[in-house]
Amino acid sequence: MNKFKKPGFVNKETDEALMSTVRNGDLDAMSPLFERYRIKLYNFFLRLTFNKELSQDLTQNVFYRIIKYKHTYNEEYKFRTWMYQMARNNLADFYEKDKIRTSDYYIPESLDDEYFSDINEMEKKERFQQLHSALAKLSEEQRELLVLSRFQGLKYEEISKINGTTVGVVKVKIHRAINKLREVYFESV
Amino acid sequence: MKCRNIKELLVDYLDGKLSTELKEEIEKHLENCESCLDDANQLKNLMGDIYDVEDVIPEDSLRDNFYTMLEREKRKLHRLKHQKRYYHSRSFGEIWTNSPLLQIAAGFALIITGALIGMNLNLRFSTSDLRDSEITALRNDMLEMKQLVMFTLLQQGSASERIKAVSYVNEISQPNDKIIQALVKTLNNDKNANVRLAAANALFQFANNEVVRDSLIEALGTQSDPLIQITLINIMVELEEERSVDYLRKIINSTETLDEVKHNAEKGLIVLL
Repeated sequence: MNKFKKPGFVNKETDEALMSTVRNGDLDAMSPLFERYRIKLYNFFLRLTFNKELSQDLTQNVFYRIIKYKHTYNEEYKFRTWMYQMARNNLADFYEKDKIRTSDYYIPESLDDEYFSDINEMEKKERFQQLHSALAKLSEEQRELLVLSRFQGLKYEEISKINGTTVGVVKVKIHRAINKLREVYFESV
Repeated sequence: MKCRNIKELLVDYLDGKLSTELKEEIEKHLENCESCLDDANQLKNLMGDIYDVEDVIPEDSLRDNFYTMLEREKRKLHRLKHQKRYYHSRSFGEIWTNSPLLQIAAGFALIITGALIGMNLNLRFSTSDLRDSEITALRNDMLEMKQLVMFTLLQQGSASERIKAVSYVNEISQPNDKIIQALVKTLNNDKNANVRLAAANALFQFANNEVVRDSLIEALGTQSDPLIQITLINIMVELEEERSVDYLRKIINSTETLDEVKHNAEKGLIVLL
């Protein structure tokens, strides 16, 4: 099964149609969008901040911003792209406000224990711990690119729109980031 | 192709994004180049491991908080729409056309305005010793006269004139205590239900005033007309006034309450609690 496939929600309307309904003042159309994206957004923040509580707050705040800035949504734009732009801005504002960077947050041992509490198999757990420690050693930009493309399953074109650059630049940067992660990851294995 | 070029293509190769031609070229190269093959295998493992990572499920509080926020935003939006409708629906213009008393008042207002302009001119062009305080005094006179018309209509006018007097409040941005008292008195004592309803709606605009708020809450305990009850319940929901909860319960439990009112009160309770 493709892990990026959307689960079969009862509401079959496209993201864009739902968001247009929200923009026109029917906020209930926000619920299916929340159900579709809450896990993805939460994990987006979790892999960038390594902090569960903070990631919950940031996720919640993205949905609040979507409602607050609903009038700026244009249905010719992919909803997902627009949403990730909000998510990025949200995180940037948070860093700006608190003057803290992720590196200040990341305490590999203690947080990983909590992070992996649901995973039983030891071998798998170890591999994931190594993967996340490796991820934490990349620059923020590289980590974000990898999270968007490899963990969230976004296409290069979408990422280029979110970051405001070209597909070519995104592709080169992501390839470099993957190779960097490969080096760090296998150094530790 | 050199190793450097091959390595740049490995991610696309593993993603299955390359043309058959390039794919075959890379596979041929990998058969003979250990360094590139190592890289390819590491990348394959890494990408597989990433693929295996399961999403962490957020706690239930995320959903709870989202729906609380959504309800709050829905209420905010509703309130905004309601206010807009309210201001657009009441035109003071039509009151002038069929009330002799207000027409007389308008005449006076014109005279005073004229006098004010005249005095302004005087101040500018002559050495008249008219002071600003006197102009302010005249302005106050005008306001007082408007109020007088309102009070007179409230006490002596017919029901429809009393309603018009109440809606006259829409012309005032900062009502004084006297006006508020008159409105509260109308809400509590006027014998016509439609006039009391108009008073309730007019008071709603000044709900940030503590006296007004309290009187609206208390009215919930005394008014028995269903239309007024429903209006007051809606006002309490709009204001998110938790102090009204006890009155709402009484309305629901009373045998004299109409079903429709009960229904509204129950809905109100759900929002407020």
